[in-house]
Amino acid sequence: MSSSENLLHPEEKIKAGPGMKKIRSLGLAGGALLLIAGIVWGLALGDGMQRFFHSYLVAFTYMTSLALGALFFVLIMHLINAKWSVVMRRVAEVLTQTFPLLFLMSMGIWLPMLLGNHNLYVWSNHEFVETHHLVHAKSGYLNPQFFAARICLYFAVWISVSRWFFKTSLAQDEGNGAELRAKMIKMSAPAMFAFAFSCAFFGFDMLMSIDPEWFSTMFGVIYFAGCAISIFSLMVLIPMGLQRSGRLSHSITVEHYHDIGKLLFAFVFFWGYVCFSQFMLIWGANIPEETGYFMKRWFAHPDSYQTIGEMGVWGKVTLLMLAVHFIIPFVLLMSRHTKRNLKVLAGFAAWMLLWHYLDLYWQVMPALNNHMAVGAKASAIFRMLPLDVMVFGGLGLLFMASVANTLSKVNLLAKGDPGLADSLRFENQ
Amino acid sequence: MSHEKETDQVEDKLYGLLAEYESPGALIEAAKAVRTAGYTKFDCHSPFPVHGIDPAMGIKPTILPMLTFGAGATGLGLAILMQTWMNNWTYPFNIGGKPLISLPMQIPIAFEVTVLLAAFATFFGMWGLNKLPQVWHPLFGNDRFLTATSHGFFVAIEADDPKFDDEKTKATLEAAGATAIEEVRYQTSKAHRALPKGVIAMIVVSTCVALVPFAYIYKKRSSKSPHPHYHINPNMDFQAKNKAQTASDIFPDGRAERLPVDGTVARGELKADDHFYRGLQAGQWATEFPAEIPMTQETMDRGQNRFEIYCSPCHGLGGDGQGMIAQRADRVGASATGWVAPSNMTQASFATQPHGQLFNTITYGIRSMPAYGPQIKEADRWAIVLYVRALQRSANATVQTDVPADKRPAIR
Repeated sequence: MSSSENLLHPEEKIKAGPGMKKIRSLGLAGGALLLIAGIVWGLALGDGMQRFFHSYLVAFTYMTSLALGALFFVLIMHLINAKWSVVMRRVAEVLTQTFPLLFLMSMGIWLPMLLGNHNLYVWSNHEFVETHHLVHAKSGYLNPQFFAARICLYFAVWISVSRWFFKTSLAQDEGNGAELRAKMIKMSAPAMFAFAFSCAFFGFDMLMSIDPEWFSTMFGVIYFAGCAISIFSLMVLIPMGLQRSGRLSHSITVEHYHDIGKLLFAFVFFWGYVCFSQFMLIWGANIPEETGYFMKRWFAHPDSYQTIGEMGVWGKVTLLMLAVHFIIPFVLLMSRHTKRNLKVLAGFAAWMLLWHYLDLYWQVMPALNNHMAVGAKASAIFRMLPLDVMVFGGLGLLFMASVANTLSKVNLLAKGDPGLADSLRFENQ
Repeated sequence: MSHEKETDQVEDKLYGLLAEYESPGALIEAAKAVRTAGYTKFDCHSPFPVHGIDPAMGIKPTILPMLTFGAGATGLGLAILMQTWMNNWTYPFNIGGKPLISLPMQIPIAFEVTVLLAAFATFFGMWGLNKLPQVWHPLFGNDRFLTATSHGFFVAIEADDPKFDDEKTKATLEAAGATAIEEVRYQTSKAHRALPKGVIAMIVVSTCVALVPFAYIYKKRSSKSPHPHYHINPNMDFQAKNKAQTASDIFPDGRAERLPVDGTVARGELKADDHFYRGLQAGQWATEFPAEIPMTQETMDRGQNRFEIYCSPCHGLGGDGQGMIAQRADRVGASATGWVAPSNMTQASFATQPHGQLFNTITYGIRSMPAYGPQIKEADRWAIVLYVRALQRSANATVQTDVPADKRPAIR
């Protein structure tokens, strides 16, 4: 056995204990119940599950962004040979083990489409495609069969990459740490390529194609920014939760949280940067085939030339997002003192996870107008909040059950990694 | 440095005590011990930044982040102010139909200036706070201290420290584990602090070299040359775009300028209203003013203003055809070369012309008079017609018909 085990505090608990099993059972039962309730509610609306599918898409891409963020965390830390983060790495590795569950969830998107329900993506509807030239021209890429194949491919990549890194990291616990670390560092470079492309294209396919006439090369990066924000939020909240229950309490210190806080701050800015870059180019060029996306998310009547100036509900949501998703966290997280005050930092982490949901909601829901008659009010979309809560709660609890299941089986800390010593005594100067 | 010892007039002064330690860990312990002993004027020297040395020495957190933040905020404000000032006040220029003060377009530059000033403040602030560049220091003359840049760890306590006492201080440093302790002395003469001559020469030479491009630019800017000037950025000087009235190979008709597509009309260019745009009512010259032209003092004033700008040079301020140009044309005998003198518009033949005909004449011109349609908008042309009517009436006015009864005594 490795000598590094002696590095840990003698009273350090690195096993999750039976509590995790309880969380798993509760999550499974609660998640399944909520999801069924959501499906029933969706059916009861009598709109061919259209509203349900939109809500499901938001919740599904949200959960996937958590796991993708975790995969990014694992890969980037290996890629740059980071040692400070070794004490936290296992938590991210555990999060990446949700991909099989997420794959099952993805079936909720592409299976109904293959079976003939076209109420989520308009491009899957043959009649719509025939009458819309731009969409027709893209139908070689945007068609139900190829879409399902791509989603399966992405998940194949993510599941295999995340399993390999997870298994290798677990093997480190049993010894041979240095050699395995070198192996993981080597693998992280090609894996990062695979991650970058699959993550961006997942964003294009799942979210951007909801407005199939519109396109933005920045879109994949924006989805990735959301992934990064959510993982750095989770890397504050999950370790803190474990520490509250007496685990890892000697290994993870304020120094580690401080660094995670810096990354969270950086990616809050990154999100604002890429979102603005996308907006500014479209706003500046002012080309109709590009501006439609923002018109829908700003004006009350985006299709009516006469009332163009009137701001609608989505416009207010856009301004709200600017404030809560960018300006407030950017200004307040800037200070070293906020990042080192763990309660404040945890507050910001939860805050960002909340608004990350609104970010995805803002991307998906205005597209409901694609199906509805012109003038459908955004407020009608908001009236469906109970459905959103059920679907999000359902998928969220299932996700949590999967995380708890993995946590219950493994060490909470990569105790065999040769970087552990440096990580334990890590200090911000 | 042997020549320095030869000058014996200068005073030899004690700087303080220099103690060497074995490792970064020992350095931190020594710094703690020295601080605990109550010394305030001391410093630590190591070849690389040592984690934990700041709290060990009792150094307060740096104010550098505040400087950075302040400079960044200044940059943000300045950039927005600068762009607003440039694009809204000093050189208002419509770009892509965006408002003159347009926040989205200001953000990229505001972002850059914020980063620039913040980076400057951080970089130069760091130098300033560390008192850099430091070309002379009493410790630099010490041979042992040379290893501070490779493998030596040092604590130096200054003799100026109120607690400094040669023996006691030595004991403190020794107790903290010093491997060697030395007194550091230095020469107080200015000559010792001066920059080496080679460095001064280098600064002078590099400054002169740096000025050469500016001198060259100045010479080029202030002198004349028969040769075409250099194109430093040909892409900017010869842009791949078509200008108005130029030829182009792209289109079969060889013109760069494109006509509207057949059967289309640009927004706001329809001009279907014959009365307003052409002065016609049912195909005849209009005898009424169009409904768009209000019969108000305002329209009359506007008509006078436009008339005096466009018409009076030839027709005269009173419309009698005696404008400055008409007078001069008479003097030089311009009629011999085809010049037709401007009409006296107060004549009866003009007073009876329908409004629409006058409007048409302004639009297309007549005889020597050029077309004013391209220069004067329709509403203004109608206002001019209205003012001409007033001129005609005033020129042919009689006391009996045109002056109110109660005003007549004042005229006589």
